[in-house]
Amino acid sequence: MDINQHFEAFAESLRAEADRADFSHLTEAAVARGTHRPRAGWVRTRAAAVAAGLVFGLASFGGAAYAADGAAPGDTFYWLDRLGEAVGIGDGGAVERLAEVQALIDHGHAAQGIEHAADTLIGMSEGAVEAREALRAAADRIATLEEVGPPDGVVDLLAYLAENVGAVDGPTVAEIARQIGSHPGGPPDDVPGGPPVSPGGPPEEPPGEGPPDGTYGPPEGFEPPPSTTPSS
Amino acid sequence: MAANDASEFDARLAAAKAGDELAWRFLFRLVSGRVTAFLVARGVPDPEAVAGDAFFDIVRSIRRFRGDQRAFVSWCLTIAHRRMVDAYRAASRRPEIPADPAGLEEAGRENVEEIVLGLVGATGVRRLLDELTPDQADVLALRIYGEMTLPEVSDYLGKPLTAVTSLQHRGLEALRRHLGAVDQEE
Repeated sequence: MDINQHFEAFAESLRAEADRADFSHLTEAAVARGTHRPRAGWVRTRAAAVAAGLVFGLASFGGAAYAADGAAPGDTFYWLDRLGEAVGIGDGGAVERLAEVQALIDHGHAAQGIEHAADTLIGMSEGAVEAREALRAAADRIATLEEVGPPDGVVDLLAYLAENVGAVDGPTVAEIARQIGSHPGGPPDDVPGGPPVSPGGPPEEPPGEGPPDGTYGPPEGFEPPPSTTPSS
Repeated sequence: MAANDASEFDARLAAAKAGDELAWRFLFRLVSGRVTAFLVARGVPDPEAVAGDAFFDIVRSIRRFRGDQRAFVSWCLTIAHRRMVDAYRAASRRPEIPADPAGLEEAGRENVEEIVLGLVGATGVRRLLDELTPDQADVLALRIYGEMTLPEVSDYLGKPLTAVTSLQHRGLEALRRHLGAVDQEE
């Protein structure tokens, strides 16, 4: 055996020693840092979804949209990373859902984004039902718009949700939602900003005959992630 | 089996990027021993603390990483190497002033004799690498614990391939002299 073979054998034994050792106690802090502490049960479901290639649901999110805008998945992750650091642990996946809402809005699917926010970000607190209904009404209003860029009020909604991830106030969201799609020149309001919708009551019907073809519904190829947050 | 392992690693990597705790534990099982043993072998002061810093860096930078399991292990070792360099620079700026010369000598003896973190081999190779220049030691330790090829070491260190090859050769020659003529019996 020459020196190189001795070295290779020596190196292998050193690697084997390292691989047998248990230094997991040195990794605890880093694991905590790398983990978005989810509610029980969420992590395995999300891991399964990720393993199936549905990272944040964006992996199958219409490649054409990304190519056209020049936006890369990396941009969303960067934003998510900054927000995740600000929010810390314990948000139950809300940060990822918010990133999805943002992505939908960025890619011209604001109505879908607002629906997604209604489904996943409102939680169960007092006024949650009101908030969801107001958001869905807003989504219906703007679905018929053909504007470039997110309609008025959507940015305010995103800002509020981002600042209050995991602790949104239902009535506040409802108030913001009522402003969406209600600027002068847009379609007439269904909800004139008067008394709040009573919890449990039926949502307002949108006017007219329903959405025109091609401006409503999920973009091609979009698959929402499996929903395992507490049910709406 | 190789294909299954590769797709398992890919899935775990994606899950870790998404913040999955089990995935992170899986990834760290792959590298925590290698990183710690590397730092012990390179003789860094307080290898546990430096290893912990390296693990934090790995978490913070994970989204920038793309590659297979072998590439991941190498990447983690380069992160550990950077932390090692920082630790040495910091230590050199803080000369330890011993309470008394005799105490320092005794402490030095203990450091040389004790097995660090239960890693007999790594502690032994530390004594060998101490005889080499830092560059020679880096090349050998990265090749050992990171399983990096010479071109990969050359890329990472930013040195030409010829220089890195020469460093490995000279390092091994120096080790041979210190180990005695192991290959003379062949």
